[in-house]
Amino acid sequence: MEHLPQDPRPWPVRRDTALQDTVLQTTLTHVTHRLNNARIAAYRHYPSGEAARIRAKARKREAIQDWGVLLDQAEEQITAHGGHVKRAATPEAVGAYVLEIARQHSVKRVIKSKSMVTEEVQLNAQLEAAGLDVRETDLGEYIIQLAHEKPSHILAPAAHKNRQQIQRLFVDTVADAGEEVSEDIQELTRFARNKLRQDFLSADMGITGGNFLVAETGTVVVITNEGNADMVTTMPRVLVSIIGIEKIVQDWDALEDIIQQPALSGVGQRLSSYTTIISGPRARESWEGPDEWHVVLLDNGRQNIHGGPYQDVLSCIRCGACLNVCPVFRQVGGHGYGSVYSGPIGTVLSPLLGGMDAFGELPSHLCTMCYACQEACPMDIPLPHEIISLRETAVSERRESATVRTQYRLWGQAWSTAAGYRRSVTAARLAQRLAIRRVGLAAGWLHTRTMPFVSSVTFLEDWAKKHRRGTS
Amino acid sequence: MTDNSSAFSTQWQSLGGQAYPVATPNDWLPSLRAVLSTMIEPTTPAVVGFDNGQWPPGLPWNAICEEFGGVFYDMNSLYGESHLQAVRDLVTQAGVGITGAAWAAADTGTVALYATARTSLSASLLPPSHLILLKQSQIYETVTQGLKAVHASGSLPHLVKLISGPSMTADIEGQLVIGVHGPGHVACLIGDW
Amino acid sequence: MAKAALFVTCLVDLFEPQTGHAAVEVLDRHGWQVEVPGNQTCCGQFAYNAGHLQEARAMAQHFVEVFESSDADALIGLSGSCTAMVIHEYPDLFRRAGQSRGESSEDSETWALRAQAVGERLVEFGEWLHHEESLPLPAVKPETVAVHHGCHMRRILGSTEETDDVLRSYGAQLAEYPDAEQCCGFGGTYSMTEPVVSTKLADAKRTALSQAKAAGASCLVSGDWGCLLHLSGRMQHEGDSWPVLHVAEWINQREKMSAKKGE
Repeated sequence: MEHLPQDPRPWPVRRDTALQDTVLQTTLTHVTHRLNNARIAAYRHYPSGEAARIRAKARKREAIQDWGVLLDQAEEQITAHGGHVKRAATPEAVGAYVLEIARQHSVKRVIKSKSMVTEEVQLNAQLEAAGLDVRETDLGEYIIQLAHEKPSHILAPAAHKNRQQIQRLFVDTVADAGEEVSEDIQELTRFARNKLRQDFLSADMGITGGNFLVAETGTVVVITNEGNADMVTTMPRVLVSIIGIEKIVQDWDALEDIIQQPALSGVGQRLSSYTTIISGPRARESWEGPDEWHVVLLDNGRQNIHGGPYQDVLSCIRCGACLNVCPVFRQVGGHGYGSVYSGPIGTVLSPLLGGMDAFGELPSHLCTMCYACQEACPMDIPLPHEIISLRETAVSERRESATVRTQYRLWGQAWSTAAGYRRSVTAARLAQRLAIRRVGLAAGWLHTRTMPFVSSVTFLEDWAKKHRRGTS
Repeated sequence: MTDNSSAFSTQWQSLGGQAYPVATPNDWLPSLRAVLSTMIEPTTPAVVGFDNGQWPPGLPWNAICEEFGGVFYDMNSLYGESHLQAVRDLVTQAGVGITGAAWAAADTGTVALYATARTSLSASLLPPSHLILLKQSQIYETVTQGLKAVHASGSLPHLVKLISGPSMTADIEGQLVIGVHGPGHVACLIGDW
Repeated sequence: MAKAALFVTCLVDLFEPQTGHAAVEVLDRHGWQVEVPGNQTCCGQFAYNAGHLQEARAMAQHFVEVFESSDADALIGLSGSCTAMVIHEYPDLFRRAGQSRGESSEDSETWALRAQAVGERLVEFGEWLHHEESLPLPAVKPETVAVHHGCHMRRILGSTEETDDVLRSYGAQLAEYPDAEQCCGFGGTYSMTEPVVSTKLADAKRTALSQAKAAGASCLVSGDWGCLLHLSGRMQHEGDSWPVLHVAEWINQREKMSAKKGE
């Protein structure tokens, strides 16, 4: 199994499909703007949230730096509280471990709250292949699970579907024979609630991701607005929390600073509706919580990022703020990226986790270098520089066409001297006269935009003529 | 009302919750009647209450609920492992869950519940309505202070839940809908006793 | 008399020389002596952003050599993006490129420091004008314009307010339009290597700008010809002849109008 699943369609197909999808275009514009405006307003009216962000960023960087020690500490603590910890290096290791627990407990039905990491390791496919009934419970994830699709936004997985499509989907997949399904959004939500409620009550195993893992106390924090993660952590007998190792934070102080950031940056709330803080399985005298709690700590390529030039990317808290401001994401949505991680963070993370062969085109084709992502990122991850750096890798690995590569080389050589620059002006005028403009890079411009002409007298030529004899 | 109470109420309401001040201990009865009259539905008459030792004493819960067609279940009478399934079944059927809280925070409009022998998290989650009884002295100015209290309690509760408003989603066309998996109707009664 | 060395930028030099002339006239009117280093070429940003580190480094070295030899009091750049490149990217570019070409770290550091010294003298045109005392010119009729700030002017230099203030002080009324802070889709050679998305973003910007146009904006003003060439190239392709102007040109027009009135 690959480290990171990849949409086999090539970029131009993914791109054009997205650009022609009018439902996607409308919803995407609405969702990204709404979330972004909410983010800006939330920090503006909450100075202590901004102050906490700055502290959280610094401590998160340190936590990543020291994660070896901290992960050991977290494991010790979880074990001491009666939980079980599994370190998993690969997607297969996660699948095998979860299946083994499921077998021990004769699990038939699994309910899940939203988790990017389980998308990354294709857990649903692994569990379903073994005959388990797996149910996503976040409304958006539920919709795309029924449609056999991938999330189009970290926070709004079904952002590409409208109410009519969802109504038809429910009728075709989960509605009982003859059951009426309304197109009203409120009603569609109620319908999903009722269907999923049955799943919650009958599930034997719950699976969640985790927003944070606190080393000091061995605590996992899960944040949702719908309340589905609360159901997943409260109802089934067995709970498995699957967490990327970069989710580690040092201690309770660090948690206090960072705990609000996903909601502030992601949806513009000071906290999401539900924050679940798990530090162990059900205490004997307590009404609820899982009888057994497993925490799977996933590497899957993260150790390779650690200690290298892209280490800051491990500070990501998956808030989605960079997606909402990215001009390219606003056009093509999550499916354009062909990876479960989309937007600017996906542009960096996907090639790092899944390799340049699979995702090398993301840095080149899905970034205009506008820096909006860096400005929006609560953890101040220098995404634009990381994207430039990945482009450098693509160049050094000769992933561009020979024509383009040569063009950059000649261009760079020529313009590194005044004489070369002047020669290129002459050459450009000649090409213009001969109408040879449809080669290499320039060809990309011409189909949709009028090409500017090199001036008959450039500014420098004019200046030189007028000031030749020191007349200034 | 204290500063923290009124700041909490404002923030809680802005999130879509309801908050009612209870001015004097004598006002608990009329306040409860007012809020339960809007919560109890004839199709789901069960009202489950988990008194965590933080409730105002001496209230006629059975009578209040009956007045609006509800049936009150004092869950603490079911204490013990052997009643686990019975409790779950009851909560699953209930139309209203009533709980106290471990603490609340004004700046985020948050109510914190710990999973203990006397508190049920599912009562705050499964029924369509959730009523929280809150003492003014339980309300911190910030959620950070509340979190510090969780940690300072020595042994961490195995499950802590922070509720900041009703269950909601915007997963269909980005349109906000209240009450997905958790309750859509969340109300706090805030007073002293 | 204070002396300015003009960093023209390749786009102004090759395609829009009138912007350079306008900037010279404005500088002159404000009492600055203007020098134009004749050997300047391009800051190398197009190569840098595309991942061609060594090509970018070669151009950056040329830039540093040309401008550090000027004794001007200020280096004034006619593009927010190119100015940001020199000030904020050059030092690190020399360090990284030096490392990957096997240069000694002392040599790389020397270049980084030389670049930093040049960067400290460089200021973007709108920022420069903002620091100047406004000329005591008689008021002229206000003009409604739309302003598009390049992303690097906005997010790396952080100087959009300065340019806005300057434009307002010259009688501009800035027409509002949605998503003003969103990229126009130019992105240097991105406009050529990914023309589909780039054009889609130009169209999104044009759609947004139509509100400014409807509010009476006579033209689109920007401190960056990269964005303007991309947007005007798209407009012309679609038969739209709404004028686009560099900040220096618009200011120069206003100063000329005021001067006439004052005579």
